[in-house]
Amino acid sequence: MSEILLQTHGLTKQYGRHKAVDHVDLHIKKGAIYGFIGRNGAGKTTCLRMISGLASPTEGEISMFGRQGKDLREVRSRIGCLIEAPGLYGNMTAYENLKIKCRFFGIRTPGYIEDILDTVGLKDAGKKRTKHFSLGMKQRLGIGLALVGEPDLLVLDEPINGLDPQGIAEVRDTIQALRDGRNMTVLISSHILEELSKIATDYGIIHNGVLLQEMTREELMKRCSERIEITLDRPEAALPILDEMGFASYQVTDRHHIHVFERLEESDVLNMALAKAEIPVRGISITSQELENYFLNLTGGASHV
Amino acid sequence: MFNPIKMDLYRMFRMKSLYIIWIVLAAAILFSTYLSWELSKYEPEASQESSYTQEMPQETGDGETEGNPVALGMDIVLPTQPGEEITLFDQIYANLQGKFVALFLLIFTVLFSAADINSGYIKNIGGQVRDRSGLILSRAAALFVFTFLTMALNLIVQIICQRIFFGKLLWGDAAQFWTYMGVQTVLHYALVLIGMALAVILKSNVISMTLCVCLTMNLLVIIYSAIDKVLEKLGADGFHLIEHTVTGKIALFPMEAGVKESLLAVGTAVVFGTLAAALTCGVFRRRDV
Repeated sequence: MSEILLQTHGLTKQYGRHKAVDHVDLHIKKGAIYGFIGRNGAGKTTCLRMISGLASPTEGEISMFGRQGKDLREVRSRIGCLIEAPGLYGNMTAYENLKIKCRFFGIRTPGYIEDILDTVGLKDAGKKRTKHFSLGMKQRLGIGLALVGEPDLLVLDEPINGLDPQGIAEVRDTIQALRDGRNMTVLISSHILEELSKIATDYGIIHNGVLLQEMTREELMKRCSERIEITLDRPEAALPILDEMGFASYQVTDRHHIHVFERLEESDVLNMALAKAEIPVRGISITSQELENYFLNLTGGASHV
Repeated sequence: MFNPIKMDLYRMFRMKSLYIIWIVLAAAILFSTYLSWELSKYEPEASQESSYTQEMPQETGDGETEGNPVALGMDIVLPTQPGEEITLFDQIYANLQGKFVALFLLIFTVLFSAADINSGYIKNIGGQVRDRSGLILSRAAALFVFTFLTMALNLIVQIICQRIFFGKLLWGDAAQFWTYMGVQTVLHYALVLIGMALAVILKSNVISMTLCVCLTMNLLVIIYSAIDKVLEKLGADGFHLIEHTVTGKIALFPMEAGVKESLLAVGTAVVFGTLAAALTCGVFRRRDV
């Protein structure tokens, strides 16, 4: 099992009577790209702000890099973050914005800022004032600022918001490259599921401040992929039959459903076998689900979006 | 600790408003010195007598000094007495006690202190410090450099203006002058720290700037007077709150101050400056960025 780099326990943030984040338990593995999915106002940003040290939790604990409580301050510098819109000085150039943060870390390595500008695809825009930047360029500079100080954990809040398709692809490639090249752990939030699904290795789904599910990419794909869906009263009685027939990839999803993810063309044979073993089957069908639909079903349907 | 200070100094010297403030201050000194020269050239006795009269506290019928010598608004009056020549000390005194320099200091302080909060840049660094109050102390250190440089600029520009318009440079009493400059620098820095506290705590440039202008225009005198009246009714006769405030000390600190007066002024500055910095640190540490 991979080492857990960041973990939250009962993380809660309350504003007045409203609980923006309600007892969230996150588990982020080292080297993962953790996609934090949720609709607008679900509590993603508040969670990320607490993890990044910009807001303090009302309740609960965060542990990262093996530290927690007051010891967390020792590892705060190992996090780079881009929360909401990038915070930039508009009258200064991209280079100067980066230099300010380099001063903060005491970094004076020649070529360091140029390398970061190159990494985020702003090599030729270093001398341009950021007030003249497009939204995409600002987002990329925001990521660049998060990279100053070589963080081990990169926290990105909606980094592809407002970007055109090319910009989205560039940011996606940058994140992928950072994870692969620098072995960074990335926590990235978004409500654009299709984009997130292209890079994330793990997922957490949050809704109304509550973490609904955590799963790996494989688990999510399994839940969304084509499958034989068997509806019956006693799923446990059907399992020996599945084993006898050589089915290996199946899952009992609840008290009335079994999902079989292989040999979809044998659904009729399977139905016959269950009937022969006197196991009443209420229904058997081949179904699949889009990632989007899976998310919508989980969070209460499209009418809420 | 030194890295955040270096960061804030770099940030400060990259701000265009710093140079605009300095240029406007220099131009204003140039203009005010020109006016002084014009007045002294055409009606030396009359103008200086007029100034002198304005400076003198009004006397009541029973011979007691009435009211507070600090007036509402910006009041820049040369202390030069009839028959005397205008010295550098006179000009510096007029500008400092009138809170003319303080106004420029406070305008930049508000812009600088809230710049990272308003632009959102604070989000890039606010979570990565061991203790967020370090970011307040670093901007306080940068503002000390700014205060010192502005006071130095004020002096240098005034020297140049004296040379240009009067053709000579009369310093006045040198020992008294440097004591006065030193104490006023400390008092002005304390005022800058109060401005920083307003900017960071209120998070609104408009409100904090307005309050800072009120401070330099002596508008708080109205509140101080009301408190004085209440205290008088409670039996504290002769107590003037303004004499125990930073702005009051700036306005009332005399040219020929003794050691006790100097120490009292510095003490007031230290108390108010420390309180302002501590309050800012406390609020900034607890508040979500």
